[in-house]
Amino acid sequence: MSDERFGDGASSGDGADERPVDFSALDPANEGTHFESRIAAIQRASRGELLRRSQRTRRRARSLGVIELLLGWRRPILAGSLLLALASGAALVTVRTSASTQSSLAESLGVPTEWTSWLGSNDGTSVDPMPRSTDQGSDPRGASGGGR
Amino acid sequence: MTQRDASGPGPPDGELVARAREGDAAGFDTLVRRHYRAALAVALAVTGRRDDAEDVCQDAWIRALEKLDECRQPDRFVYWLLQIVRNRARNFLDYRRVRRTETLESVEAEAAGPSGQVARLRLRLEEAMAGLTETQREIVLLHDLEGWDHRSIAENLGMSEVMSRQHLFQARRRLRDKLRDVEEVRSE
Repeated sequence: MSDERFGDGASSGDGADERPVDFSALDPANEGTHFESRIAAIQRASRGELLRRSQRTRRRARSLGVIELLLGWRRPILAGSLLLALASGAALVTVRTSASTQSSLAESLGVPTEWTSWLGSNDGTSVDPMPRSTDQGSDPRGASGGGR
Repeated sequence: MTQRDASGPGPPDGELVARAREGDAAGFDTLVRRHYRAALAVALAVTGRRDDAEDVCQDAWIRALEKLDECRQPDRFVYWLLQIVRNRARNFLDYRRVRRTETLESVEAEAAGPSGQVARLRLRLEEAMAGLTETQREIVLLHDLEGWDHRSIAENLGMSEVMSRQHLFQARRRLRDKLRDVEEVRSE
């Protein structure tokens, strides 16, 4: 071995220290069945950990599958979401408009404006003058005061 | 011996680590077969006994699998693994000091067993290696047993290639001094 020239000056002179030491008595590969039995022992001992790892890998693969499915449907989902958002916006605008025209709706149903404004005022007035004001077609508060 | 870098042929370590992280047993098995000997060499360098090194090695592999998500550079997996092996082996060594008597008895029983000759030779090697520093043992085992080149060894231990060569040279010389009779018997 030409790369093991180190120490030439200190060697015994016959190059013995440059030859590999015979470790065959310690080499597990020289004992076929023994070597295989050691490998088998490691395999047996590692079975539980390998099983745990493969289960973890399968779980990850399943969750990744769901994400991939969602990614595959992302265009239709986005388009659907956009349509839904547009429809929701339009519905919201319509409901607000109808709320602002509530009084005129009452008028169109024939309810006197005085009634609606009285009900909306919430000033604690008694309902006693209501029949009279209905008869006179005037403000029940005003009618009450004028009747006396 | 043909010297090679720390990664072997086949899929790169980074790919195998990614597969093992997902629980792929085949990917992990390939990693174990590829780096088992290197892990054993490091464990042996620390513990000094192959039987203990094998137990440490198995423990370290399981620990590495559990902590695999913390391996930030999967392409350099083997260096990360060997650090785990080194730590586990040192912890084991502390534990073993308490049970030293029992360990010596089991060594003697093994040497007297049916595969006595190989066991005795192994014991001689282990005794000879006890005279080296931990770094020297790791370098000589990774180089001469596992066949790593100096670039990989230097990267593994965070030293220069020159230092790696120097340690290897000294380790071999000390080992040969202690194993002279064994080598003479073999050469006859």
